[in-house]
Amino acid sequence: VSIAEAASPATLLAFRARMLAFALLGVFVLFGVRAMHLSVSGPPDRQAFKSGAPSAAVLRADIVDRNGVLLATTMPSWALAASPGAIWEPEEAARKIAGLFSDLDAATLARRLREGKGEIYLKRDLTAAQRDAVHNLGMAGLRLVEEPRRVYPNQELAGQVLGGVGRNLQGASGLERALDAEIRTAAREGRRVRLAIDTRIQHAAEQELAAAVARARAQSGAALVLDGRSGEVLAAASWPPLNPNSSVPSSDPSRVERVSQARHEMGSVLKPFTVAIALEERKLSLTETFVPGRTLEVPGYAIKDHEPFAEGPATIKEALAQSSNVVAGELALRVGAPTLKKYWTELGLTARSPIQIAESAAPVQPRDDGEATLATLGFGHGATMSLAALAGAYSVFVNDGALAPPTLLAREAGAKIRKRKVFSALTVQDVSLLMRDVVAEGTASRSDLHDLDIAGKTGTAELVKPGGGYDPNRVFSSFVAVFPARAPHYVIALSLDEPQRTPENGFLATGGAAAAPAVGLLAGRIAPFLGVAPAELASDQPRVGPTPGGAR
Amino acid sequence: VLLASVLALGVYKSKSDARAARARLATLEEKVAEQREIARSLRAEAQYLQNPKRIEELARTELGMAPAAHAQQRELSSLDKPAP
Repeated sequence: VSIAEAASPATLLAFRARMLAFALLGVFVLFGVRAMHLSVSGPPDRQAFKSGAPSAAVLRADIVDRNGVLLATTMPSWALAASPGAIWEPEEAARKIAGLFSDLDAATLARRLREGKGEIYLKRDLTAAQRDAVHNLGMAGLRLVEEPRRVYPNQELAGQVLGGVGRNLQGASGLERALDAEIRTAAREGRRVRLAIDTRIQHAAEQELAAAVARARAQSGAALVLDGRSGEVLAAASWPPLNPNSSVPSSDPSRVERVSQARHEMGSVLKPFTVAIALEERKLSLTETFVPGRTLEVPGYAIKDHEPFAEGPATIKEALAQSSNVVAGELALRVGAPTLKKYWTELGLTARSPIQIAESAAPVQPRDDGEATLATLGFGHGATMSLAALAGAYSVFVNDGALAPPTLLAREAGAKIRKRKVFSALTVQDVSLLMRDVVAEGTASRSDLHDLDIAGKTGTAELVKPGGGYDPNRVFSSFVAVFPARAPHYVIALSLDEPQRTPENGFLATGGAAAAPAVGLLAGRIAPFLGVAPAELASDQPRVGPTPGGAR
Repeated sequence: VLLASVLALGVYKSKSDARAARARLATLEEKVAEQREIARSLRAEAQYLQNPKRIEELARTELGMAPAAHAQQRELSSLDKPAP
């Protein structure tokens, strides 16, 4: 007999009602528990609403100079976009929008709003106030897109070195590109990126370079100030200058970073290294005499000096002071190609400069090892390189023969600097003395350097003619200095592309006439910033009158 | 039942207080972020106004100043003592 049959209809009904009551109670208990749970824990995805879009600072860190002066920052900015399809009255909308921006024309705007398809951008780089004004129009079909903007408050200062970013704040050129990862990491960690550059020295370098370019009516120019002991780049200037806040076509001459990107046959500024290599390899003694006015015969080529470097037999002192190509070529031949190349590699002259500029270019090396090539390398021809690579190599003269690779990032106090020993301290001392003579009585003696304790070397490299061969009327002139010469610490390099023979420079376009005076002015001007006392930079050598004639 | 309802009320009160505090915190955080952005803009503006090129131009044109040459610099110790 089944239960259903046994129970009366009334008992069955009561049983069903009780079951329903229990089920409802269960549901209410569930609701209650959930309600209690919610009130204690809060809605599960509450956190998601809290954090909005990342602020501009999170994307890209500020860049500051070695003293904390702001060089680059990221600012909030908005773009105004419109969907023409969603705008009812284009004329009315255009009039209202044009009223907010002086550089927008209502008629053009109306046409764009009438004929545009999809979403069009009406204006970029809106400030917060402009954004609020657009917001207050309360117009349908308009959209404000957040587009953080990179700003360089010092305008042209170090323009090419800083470089720039693309629309998405991705590093596009200069150190913004070379240090892209570091700048982003710093932003996440809330740090600023501190450069080795000193704004005051950078400004002085740019000014003196611009003045030197103007005096010589040159095509372009570059200047570099290096703390040779640490490798820190205190200033890197290019002329013509570039304002990274404005967009300039990539073909414009101001877009070339002249310190590390532009390459040249450097010429005589490389002779100190030829002499140092010959001394180090014991292929030259300081007392050995050379006969001036000789011709150096190499296969297919005869090397001559423009004029004899002395009246009678003279030592390397006169030969370097008057920049003899014959002697430098002969020393290179004595040393031999493999040895010369080995030293050049150690000096960083055969690779791109490690300076953190995206455009830093690799040198062009000679294709053969022949005697003619070797001899020309001895006086700085036949291979091109950047001023940054050259100045980096000169750091051996302030580090007792060790090389400190140039860097744009500030060194932390006490950080270990990795230097590479290239020459012995004795060799470097000897060559430094020879370079003091260049300034005291050699090719740089006509400049304003007499009263400064500076050692250095001039360079006047003829440029290659379009059809081959060298053009004596178009030159690349430079001067690389080490100072203070008694206790060297800094390297200054300055170069001019195609200086003219102007009256301001005594109708000469040589490195001694066009570039060296600017280096003297710059050294005197920045000495106080470097903590070099006036007496430290004053020459203790007797003043010698300018050498007459076309010294190079 | 009484105890339970007192407890429930207590929980409700503390929860609503916490919610109000959280809302206040969010407003304040927003304000801080806003002020940070303003400070950032002002810093950039200040640096623009004191960038060396602009200062030098003003010093040159308004004050007739020029960069000090090396020959114009002396150390204090190298100067003669002033007459008494």
